[in-house]
Amino acid sequence: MEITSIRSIKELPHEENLLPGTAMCSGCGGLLALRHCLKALGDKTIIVNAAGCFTLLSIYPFTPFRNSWLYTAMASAPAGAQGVRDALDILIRKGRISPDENLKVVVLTGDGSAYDMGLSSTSGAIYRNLDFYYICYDNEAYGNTGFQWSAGTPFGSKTATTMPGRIAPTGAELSKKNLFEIWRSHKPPYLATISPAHPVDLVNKFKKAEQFKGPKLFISLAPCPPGWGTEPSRSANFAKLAVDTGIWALKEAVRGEVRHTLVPKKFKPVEEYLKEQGRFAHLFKPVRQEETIRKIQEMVDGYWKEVKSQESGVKSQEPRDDMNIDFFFNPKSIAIIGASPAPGKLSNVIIESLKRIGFPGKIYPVNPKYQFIDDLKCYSSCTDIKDDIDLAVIAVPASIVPEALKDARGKVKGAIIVSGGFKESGVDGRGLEDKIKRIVQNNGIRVMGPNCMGIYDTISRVDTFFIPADRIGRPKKGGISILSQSGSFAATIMDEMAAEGIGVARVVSFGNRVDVGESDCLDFLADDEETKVVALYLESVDDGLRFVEAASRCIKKKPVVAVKVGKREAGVYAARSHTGAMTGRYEIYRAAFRKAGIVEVEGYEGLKDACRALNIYRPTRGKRVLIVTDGGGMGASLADSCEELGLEVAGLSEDLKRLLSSDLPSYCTVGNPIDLTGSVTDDWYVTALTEGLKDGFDMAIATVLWGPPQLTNVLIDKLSAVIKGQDKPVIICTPGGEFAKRMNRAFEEKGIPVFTTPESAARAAAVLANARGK
Amino acid sequence: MIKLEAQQLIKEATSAGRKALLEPEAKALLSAWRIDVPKSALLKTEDDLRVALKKVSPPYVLKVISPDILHKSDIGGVVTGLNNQEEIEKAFKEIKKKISEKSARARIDGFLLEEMAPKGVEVIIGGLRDDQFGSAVMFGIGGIAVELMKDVSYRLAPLDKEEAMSMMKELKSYPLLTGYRGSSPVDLGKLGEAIVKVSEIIAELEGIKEMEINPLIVYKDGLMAVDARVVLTGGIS
Repeated sequence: MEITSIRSIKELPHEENLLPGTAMCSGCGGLLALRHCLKALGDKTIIVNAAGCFTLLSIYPFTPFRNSWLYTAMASAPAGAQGVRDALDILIRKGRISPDENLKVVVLTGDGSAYDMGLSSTSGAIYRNLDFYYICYDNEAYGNTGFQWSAGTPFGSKTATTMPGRIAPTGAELSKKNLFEIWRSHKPPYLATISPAHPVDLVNKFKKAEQFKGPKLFISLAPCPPGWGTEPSRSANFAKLAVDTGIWALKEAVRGEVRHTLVPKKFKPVEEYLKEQGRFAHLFKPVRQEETIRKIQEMVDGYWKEVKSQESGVKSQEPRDDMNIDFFFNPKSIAIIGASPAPGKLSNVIIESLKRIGFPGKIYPVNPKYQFIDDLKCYSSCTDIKDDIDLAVIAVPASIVPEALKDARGKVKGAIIVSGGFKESGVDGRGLEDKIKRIVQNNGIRVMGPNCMGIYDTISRVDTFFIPADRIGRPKKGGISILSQSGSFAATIMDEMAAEGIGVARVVSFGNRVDVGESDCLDFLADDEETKVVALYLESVDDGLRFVEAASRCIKKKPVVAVKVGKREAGVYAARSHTGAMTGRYEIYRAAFRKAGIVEVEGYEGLKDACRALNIYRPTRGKRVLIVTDGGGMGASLADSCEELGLEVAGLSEDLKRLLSSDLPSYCTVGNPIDLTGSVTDDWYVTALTEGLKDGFDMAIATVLWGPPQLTNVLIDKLSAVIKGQDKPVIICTPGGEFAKRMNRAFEEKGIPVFTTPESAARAAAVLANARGK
Repeated sequence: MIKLEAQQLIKEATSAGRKALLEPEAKALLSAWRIDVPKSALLKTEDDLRVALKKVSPPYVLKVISPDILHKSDIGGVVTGLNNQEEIEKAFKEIKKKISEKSARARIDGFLLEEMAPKGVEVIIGGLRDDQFGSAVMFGIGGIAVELMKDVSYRLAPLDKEEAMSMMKELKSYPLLTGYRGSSPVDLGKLGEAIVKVSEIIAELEGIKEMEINPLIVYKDGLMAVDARVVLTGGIS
């Protein structure tokens, strides 16, 4: 049995483990919740009941429970649970009971015990990772003894001990204690709020909790007719209103990570919940306490505002301020350290590149040997420059780099060391690299490189790539950003993208990574509005967990694709187990990519195809692909490639088959692939694609073979209209020789990427299907 | 055994200079996380056998317990298919003889008499502590598919049941779990939970470098961890 969530109340378990006939008040919301909880938990449970309302459930010799029941003092139910759990464990270990006779240990307490008197024993039990369930029925006061104030009582409520009067007209003056957060700070494996009005949500939460060993805690709102001053028949309505107004947030936390399970589409005003309850009646009569009602509404609004900002993945994981590297991507001034007037020298190429791309800020060449470099005044050292400098490009021989960094101290925010001759070049270089690492650690400059190309940025118009533009083309402005450990990899892919007219936002070659690396750049790109897609080339990552965190955050906002090279690198395990012996580094990298939601692609070509596809198409919702072709064999080959990559080449619906059979000649094969045959016309493609995409497919691949005589170059316009006319991707695949290549260029001129083999088209489709993250 | 006790067990074994947990310890750890293990008895002296036979029922497996032997079956430290006292006593001698031949210096702490698990689908669940990414789990479907075809999947730990399920589905040999050529499907739910539990053990307990349940036998209902290894970090350096 997998964890199959239920969808409707019809699927609730039928067995009753809490039988009718109890001494509880009529309309007890806690009892209603308990009934559902016990349905979800089953009958193999032991209830450990703290003193409270539910004491009344088992009055000797009567009990409504199918389960066993143990009664404890108010503050010590979790301690009781520990004893029961230990006893069960010992009995199982000694073989006195078999493991399938094992029981779930369930603590049942009211809010008085959970929020107040029993909090320390609960904290202890969570801390010890006791394997138990804890259900708090929260009626927001000490109900059993006459509805006195508890730490669960909300602001504004009347209780026997917070009677509204002249001194305290609001009733309770304190807000409800945030028990959820108190528990969450212990990081139990599972924690949730539930409501008797949402039994489906409730049961699914118990199902989810079941997989975890350790504390599994639940707080249920428990409408209390005598205490709340409400109609017993309306308890479920009030529980529902509490959720609809946003007062009772339904949420869960798995190992501390919070998710709201039900967010009302439109929040009802809190007044609707308050005004019909006796405990809040004083807020409306004899005089309406506008201020108090407003304050309650504001507390609820404030809560959900924070939820919204946190669950969009921003606030809680915001990178630290001192990690900010924005100035690399938005510099107002750049110093070129080691600038040379000699054409072809790295530093000279960089100055030329900056001029050509039209860098709008100031350029400061630095070299004591020169007065001027071209028309730019040259400085003998960074300290001679009056203004502060955002970025320094260091292009001096490796041995002088430490001096250059020291010279830049206090003057420069970030430095790109393009020089080589470090770790990559043997023992001496490694020593030198360690030296600059030490300098970087305490001179306040963020450093990219060494042994890198730096940044090509079409947004801020920065280009530190030291290869002339006639050798390596520079792509136009676009939405793809590339992070690459290798400079040559970055440069080559840039060149191809330039040739094909694909635009980029920022390309970063970060090289040996003494300081700024992939995770810093991912943090920046996640929030960068210009970047729509991130492509990564990795040999290794620096800090694995930080990388997973940064990539996960980025993926919440945009697709991240990656190629990992060095797949044969051996693992670093003890190899004393099979597991250790057969695991290499690459396997762990894949697991990390998977965790973050990164789409892994194969090699250079894989990354290039991914960039081409993501440049114009958005990720799809699902994996259903429609194939349309005029060549049966190519269609079949493409279908195979798609299936191998985990895409679904699903059949057509009967309706669509009927429709296409009437719109297309009878000799066309109406299936998936749809084979339009050698008699195909331009319009048949349009019909098959437009009608087909309405049939629940997530994308289509049109494999156009140019042999059929009736196909004309008008097809290019027509297909481009189909692509632009709806939001599902239509990938163009056109294998072939001279004629096909000419047609391909016509597609590309319209900004439509063409994939020239079935395999590359299928790969592109797979990237689109997986790029949404998890 | 709760987490604290498990942690204590690992700490003690590490400070005693041991490279791995003994099999009964590893299994106690698993059963603390509610992964089922075969019913067993620890035999330290001859007398233990008589008591043990009342508790455990045939057929039996006899395994040597030694801190110096991690792969018991490689040196003849495991005898299966035993049915009575006589056969067990013969197996004692056999194992002792083989060990004295192949690994004379190995200390023998005792023997483990286990009920032999019935046949089912054999799988492997592994856990690794990784310096860069924290910890990871591995899953494979036993025997040739794992060793020859390397048909295994990995995830970072800890994970949830949904991810555990996707780890299984990713394997080419997945149909072996869902019923292949008339065999009945195995208890995927329990198996998924077992993967989650191994991921929790490797992620939460300090001092484990590698661990694996190999084989874990999965049935139509339930499963059984037949052999387990827990390699300790302290023993590595």
